[in-house]
Amino acid sequence: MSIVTVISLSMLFEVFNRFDRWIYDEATLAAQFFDSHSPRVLLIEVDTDYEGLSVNNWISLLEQIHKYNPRAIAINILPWNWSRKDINLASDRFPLTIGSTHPELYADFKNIVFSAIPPLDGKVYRQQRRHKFINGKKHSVLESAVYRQIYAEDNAYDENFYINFIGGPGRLPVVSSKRALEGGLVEALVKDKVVLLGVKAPLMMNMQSPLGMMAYANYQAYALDTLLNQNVIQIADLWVIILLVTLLVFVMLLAVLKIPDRYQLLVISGFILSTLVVSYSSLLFFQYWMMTGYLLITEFSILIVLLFLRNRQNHQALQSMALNSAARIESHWLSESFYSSDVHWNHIANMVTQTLSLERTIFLERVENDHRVREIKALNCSLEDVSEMRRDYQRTPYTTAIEQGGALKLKHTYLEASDDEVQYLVPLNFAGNIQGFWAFTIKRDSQLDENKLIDAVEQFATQISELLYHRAEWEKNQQNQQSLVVKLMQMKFEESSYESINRSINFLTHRLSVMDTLMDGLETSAILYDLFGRVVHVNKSMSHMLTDINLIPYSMSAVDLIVKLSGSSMIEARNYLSYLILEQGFINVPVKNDGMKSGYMLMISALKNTDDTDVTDGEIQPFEITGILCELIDMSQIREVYSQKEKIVEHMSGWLRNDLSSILMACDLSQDKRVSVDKRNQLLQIIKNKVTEVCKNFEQVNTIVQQDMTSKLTSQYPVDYIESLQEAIIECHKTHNKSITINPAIPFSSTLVMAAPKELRQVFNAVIGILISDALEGSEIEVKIKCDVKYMEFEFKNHGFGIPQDQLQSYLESHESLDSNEFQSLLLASHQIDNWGGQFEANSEIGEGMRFCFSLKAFQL
Amino acid sequence: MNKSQKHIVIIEDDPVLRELTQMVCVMEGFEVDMFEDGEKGIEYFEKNLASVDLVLLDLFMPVLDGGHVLNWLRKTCQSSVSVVVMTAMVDEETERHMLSAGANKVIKKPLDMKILLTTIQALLNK
Repeated sequence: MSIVTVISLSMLFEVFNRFDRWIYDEATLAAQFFDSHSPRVLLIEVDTDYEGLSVNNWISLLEQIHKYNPRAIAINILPWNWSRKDINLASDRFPLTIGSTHPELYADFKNIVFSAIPPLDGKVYRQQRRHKFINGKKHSVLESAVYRQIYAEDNAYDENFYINFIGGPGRLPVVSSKRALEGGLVEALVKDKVVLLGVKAPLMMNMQSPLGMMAYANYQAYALDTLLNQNVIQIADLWVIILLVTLLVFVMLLAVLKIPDRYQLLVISGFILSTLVVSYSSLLFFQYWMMTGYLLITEFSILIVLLFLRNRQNHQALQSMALNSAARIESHWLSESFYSSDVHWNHIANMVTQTLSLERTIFLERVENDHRVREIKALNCSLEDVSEMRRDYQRTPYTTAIEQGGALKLKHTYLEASDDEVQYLVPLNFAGNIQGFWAFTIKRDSQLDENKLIDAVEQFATQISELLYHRAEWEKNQQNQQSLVVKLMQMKFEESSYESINRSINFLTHRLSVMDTLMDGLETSAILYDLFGRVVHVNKSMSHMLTDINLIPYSMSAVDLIVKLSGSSMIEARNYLSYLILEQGFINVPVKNDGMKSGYMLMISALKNTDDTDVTDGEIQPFEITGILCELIDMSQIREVYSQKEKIVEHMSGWLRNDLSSILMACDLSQDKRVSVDKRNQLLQIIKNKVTEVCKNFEQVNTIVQQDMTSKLTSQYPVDYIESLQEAIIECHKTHNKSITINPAIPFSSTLVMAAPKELRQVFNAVIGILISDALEGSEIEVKIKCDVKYMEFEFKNHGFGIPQDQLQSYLESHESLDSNEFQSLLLASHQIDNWGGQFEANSEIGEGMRFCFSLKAFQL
Repeated sequence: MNKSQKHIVIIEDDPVLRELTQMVCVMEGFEVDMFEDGEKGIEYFEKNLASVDLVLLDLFMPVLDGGHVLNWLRKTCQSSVSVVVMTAMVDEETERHMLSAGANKVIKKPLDMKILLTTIQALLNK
């Protein structure tokens, strides 16, 4: 273990070291243009291939140098052609120090010293040594020997000292031997300098330094200059590094603890930058290397640890928050009473069966870890009615229904049912997973519109899928409450937080989409703002309305919307909102916008938080308001309703006047002396009967007036047909750009028929629209209206091209959607008239035109 | 004026009011015929119009309304027969419309016996 630790630490230390050296090299290279001191060495590069560099040339060269009074002369490596005699001769004449790789062979020469030649291992060399022990004898290295010669003492640096490369490759003057021999030397270059004659022998290969590749002679010149200038690069001691790192860790952690999260990265980045600046300055001005690599690694390590810890902390907080939310959400929908009892499924089965007029219904759920379905609830059938072969949900018809993604009309028998029943299978899908299936049958001759049935079925299926999903979750929870041993036996473990959160997110997404659908399904155009007036949601209707008048919902605040729609001033709009927020009320403002049709009202209301726990003394505080709802309410519909009711009351007045006539006349007659007693009694009876009749009529009208005419459940009530007819004529004229005359003769009779205004308009539209399309240009459409006691009869006839009667009849008897929109509308109109208890008749003859007659129940008291 | 010679036709869809109006007229010595809608009234006029002196005509009726009957009468016999239109409509526009269509008088419902008789006598004495 300890070996592993030592190796690991060594490797780690090596990583630190390598990084520090790399930083050091980069810093040195970056300092190459910084000139901090004057050179004290002249390097003369001696090319040994130079033909004339014989011993005599060497002597000439030395003489050339010597005459300019150098401080000392050194030859980095003993020239190969020098004999011991030549050495003696040169040494006697010049203050010469000569380097050799084997100084021990020249022990009798005091000036022959060791010239350290590094191995050719590709490393980057930054240091030079001072001594070398050969055969137990200590030899000075050339650079140290020259230093001692000049200063008459050894330098005090470390045995291995760092060469100062600051100033770059151009810092030291370099002259070639050829130029020197040719008299190219000048006194300024040589005087008081140490001249190093650097031999470029094949042995002296180039080597890697912080400044890049350089000849060994250059490397020695830098080492010599460093010693002579006494600007050796000092490296921080280990204890200094430890102290600095400890201090740095302490300061940084303190800073991180005290500084807000968002500034931490900035502070650490500041530390790193400061370290770089201080280190570089220290190197440049004080020749002191702070082992910056170690400091940077420490800082980066702290940064990484910090990020990791912060990330982990955030992750834990997020996870905890998400799990808490998931648990809270679950508690909302996992109502034990609902899932533990069978009663609710009975209600659901009954409800769908009755609402959709189904014959048989069966709800099936998927069996976990199996491919069969299981019955949840069935009405008028059971799982036994499904053959064993057809209970595998990985086969047809289940797979086909899943592929279709909606209600599948089955071609082959699935449930055992009578031949006059049509069967459907609906996949129950929640959050992308199939929870089960719903199979049902309806009577083949059912009057239900298939498209409407499928729409309703799919809406129910969505709700039932969600219930099934929660039921499955509830069952899963029940199983999770089993003993640990059982769980282990069944290899069931706790679900991961991911699964739990994913489940909650799926649920919330689903709920959100339901909320979207709800908002879009609202009768009114609605836009929801948060308390600060920012848009939270816009329903489709509002979005379309605003787009139509060139307003972009999401770019407007609540105040902007009020201003744009109501024409109020900014101040008024703000006052409205203040009132809403503080008084928790609602405001209705008439819409005044040129782009919108009149009759709209903008209703602005504050949505209050229903959690009463925070309410103190019944007062509303601003933050209990969760949003502001703006709705555009189409008052024209309400106006229409009131108009219809007004018409009924108007007619009532007519009937009342009629009845009062009888009463008044009977009273007058009863007072006439010519009338016999018997007659008088009859007249009194008439008065009584009429009064009773009037009271009854009043009650009837009162009931009708109180009816909700806007409700879709109220399919018919007394409607004045005149307005619907006139509107339809105008609309059809606009749609069909033809010169056709329509002048309906409205009789003096009651104009109230049992219908619904909007639908009645659609009926007139359908009939008149087709007649105009078919009519000859410039012709007239005859409209005759006749009032029977019980029915109002309408006859529309044109002079046009016509179509074959058979074809027209086939359109009106079709059970499927027609390609022609006009005939489809006519078909729907005929069904609508049937539903109102009227009759529809259509005739057509080629070359003559078309004729449509229909009757509607007249409203009579 | 020999009242028994005067012939009044009542066209009114409300059976009680029709009977009561007939009673009033008969008590005053008029000869009265009555019909429940305009169609039946016209059928009668086609054969017996010459004998009719005055028509009490309800405006709002099923099958064929009073407006149609008035138009028919004025097309057929110009102004030889007096026509009193009885209506529950109280607006002046309807009254103007009826008078311009040829009605001699428009009486608004509820009917007052005295006003009715005064109107009948005034028209028959013209």
